Amino acid sequence: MTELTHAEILRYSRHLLIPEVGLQGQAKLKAASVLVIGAGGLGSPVSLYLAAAGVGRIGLVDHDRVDLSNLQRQIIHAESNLAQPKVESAKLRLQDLNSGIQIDAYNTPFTSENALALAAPYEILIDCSDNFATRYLSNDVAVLLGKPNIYGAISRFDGQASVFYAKEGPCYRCLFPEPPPPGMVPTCAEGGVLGVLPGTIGSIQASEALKLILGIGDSLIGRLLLYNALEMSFDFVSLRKNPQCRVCGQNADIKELSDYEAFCGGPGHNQQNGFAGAGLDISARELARRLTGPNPPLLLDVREPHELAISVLAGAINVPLGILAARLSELDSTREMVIICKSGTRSARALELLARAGFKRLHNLQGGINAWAKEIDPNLPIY
Amino acid sequence: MPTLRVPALLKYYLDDQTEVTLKGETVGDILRSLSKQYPKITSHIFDNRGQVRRHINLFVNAESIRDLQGLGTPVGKDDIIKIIPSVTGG
Repeated sequence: MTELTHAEILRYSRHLLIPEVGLQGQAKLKAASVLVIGAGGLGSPVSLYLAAAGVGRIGLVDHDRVDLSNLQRQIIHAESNLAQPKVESAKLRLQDLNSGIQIDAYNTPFTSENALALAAPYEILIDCSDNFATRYLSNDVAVLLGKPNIYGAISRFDGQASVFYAKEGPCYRCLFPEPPPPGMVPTCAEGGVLGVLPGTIGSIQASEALKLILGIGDSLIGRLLLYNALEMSFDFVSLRKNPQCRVCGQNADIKELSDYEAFCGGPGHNQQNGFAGAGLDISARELARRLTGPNPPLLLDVREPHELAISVLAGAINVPLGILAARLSELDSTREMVIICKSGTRSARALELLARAGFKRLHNLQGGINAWAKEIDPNLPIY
Repeated sequence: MPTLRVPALLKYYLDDQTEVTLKGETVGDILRSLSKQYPKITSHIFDNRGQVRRHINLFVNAESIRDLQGLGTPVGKDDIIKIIPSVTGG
């Protein structure tokens, strides 16, 4: 068993006083290794608490850089870290918090090509990702390597948490065999999130990690925690293994990693390029040119009404995406139309919906109104 | 009547409510009542073929209807039907 130094005994004294932890438990934490997938909202509290608790080796994988819009909730980063790779910013903060542990920073996307090799050295994976492709990838890696995957997900005021461990219970695919259609479930970047929500759910993930390492308590294996911050309610539902699960079921056919971006119908790694593809996109510059020329297109803004108070293009009609299907009859299907949202994701989905309904002259404002603010009208804020 | 509960993310399609009571003797009945009374939520629950979307989980109290009798699972007046969609933010 790993010995603790005198300095470590003082540092972790509040753990050592707990009979369920004690010297032996703290030594287990020191010998443990955890890979945190995502160094954003959830990854911040998860890695801070695991480092503070003395988990001996923490890996962080993320390819993103620190942006001003992250600081409302990603508490591991600070203004002095803006534009730095997130894993480098996080590593500095964690080393400052606890110099006695090993921090491995992987400044790269977590992909089918590198995921097995990145995850192999660690005992536990913690899914702090922000897109479905990475969530399915994390799950399949955990199942194929026989490791637990501590799950957390957040949106606006809702949080979910569980421990997926195929050796002892269900996996993520048992609960969600397939991802939603692209764009149907908004990301934090599209739908927003209460800043403190990842603190609540991330702290629960960190608790579950410590319990698994220590071998104490009742874990969230086989249970899904549902948290609603608006109502301040916690609820639990039971999860069972799905015998038909493609990765951990009796006749599982997933034996190796595949193309998760294709499976989820869109890019992972929280890319917010806002493309509709297939030649349907229009740039902000091209739209500006068209709006001053003859026969300007109709502007259809599919954001929520409260977003229009932040920024809006003159003359745009507002029909939020969520109710667009019910209001198609109000729109002229023969008119050329440019669809607008914040960053081009919801508008791409609206375009699909309109195209299926028979609308033909459609364009997606690539990058959304934020691209317009950046390239055409600096008086508009970017959000 | 049984109660149907949705996460806060879906309350915008239920006139800002996360809980509603609906008539029905099975989970399938409850979803049909839901769709009739709150049509804006329909496309979030059902696909174009009228099937429950694969990223939507339905529970009666704490049990998944996959482990019960699917949409035919009977529900009583004190039961709570929970719609649990996948969430991606992190």
